[in-house]
Amino acid sequence: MHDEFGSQGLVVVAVSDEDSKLVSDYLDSMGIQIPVGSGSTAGSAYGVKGIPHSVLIDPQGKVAWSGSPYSISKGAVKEALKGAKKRSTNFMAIPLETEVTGRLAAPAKSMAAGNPGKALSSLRAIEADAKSTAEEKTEAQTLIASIDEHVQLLNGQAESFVKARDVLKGLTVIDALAKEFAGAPIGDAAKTRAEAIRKDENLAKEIVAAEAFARAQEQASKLGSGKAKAKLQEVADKYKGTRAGDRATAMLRTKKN
Amino acid sequence: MKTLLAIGFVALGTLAIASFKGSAPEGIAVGAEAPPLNVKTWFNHIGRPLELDNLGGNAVLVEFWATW
Repeated sequence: MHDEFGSQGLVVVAVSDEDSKLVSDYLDSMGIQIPVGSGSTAGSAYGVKGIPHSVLIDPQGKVAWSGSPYSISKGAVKEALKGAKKRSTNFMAIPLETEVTGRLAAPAKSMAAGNPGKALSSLRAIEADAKSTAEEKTEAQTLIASIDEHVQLLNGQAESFVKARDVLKGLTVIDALAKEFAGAPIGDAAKTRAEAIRKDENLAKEIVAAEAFARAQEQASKLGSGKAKAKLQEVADKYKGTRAGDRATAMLRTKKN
Repeated sequence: MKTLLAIGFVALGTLAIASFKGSAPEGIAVGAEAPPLNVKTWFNHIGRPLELDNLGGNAVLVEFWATW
């Protein structure tokens, strides 16, 4: 479903009521790409009795279809996609709940499009402009606060990834912040942090291992079972002790079964 | 006697099928307001935690699953 309708804007997520460690370990061995939520209490609210079970929700937040994932109605999906907006998977995007008009419309649009750096410059200018009305200044400050909140969220997540030895993932976020906010304090701080991470011996090892693992997975997807396993085993052996090495090992364990 | 027994079995069978079909249907009615996903931790996702109130305007396919 994700492959077929993802590009048309269908958001596909999986949720489980199990705890995060169980889900995290399972995902490590699987290589699933879609967002997966753990600790969800929604099952009973959705009347889920047997799993797996799928529910399609339309853009108005109403249930459009409910049933077995093996019999999802493509017709229902196509219908639900009519008038659906495409969700930006760009984690820099800050979608806004309310309509913004006037001078603030452009920066608001930039925020929603994933350019908060550009928006921030415009908003600071509006805030500092003597000709701005009090209302405009207040609104600019509100939007600036949203950007700061989002940046804090991303920084927090990046550090969690680094802490969990998912260093490459953490750097993806930090590098993006450095680029997006280049020239601003947020960007400078991110650049400094990225440099520190790359200089750290242990973290650097994790990065090398993660890159090797990504390459091995790419190659393995094109090879037969035996050769694919060998590629993963290479990573598991060479990068033992790293998160990527652990992941390769976990993946091999499931392939054996 | 045999006829009575046969009728008895058929009756039991019908009752069994009726209760199976009559038990609360799985899932949620089409057209109902979709309840919140209430997820504690998101994986394979960066940014604001996903919830239906910030996915308004999108078509969402939710799969309920478990690791077992």
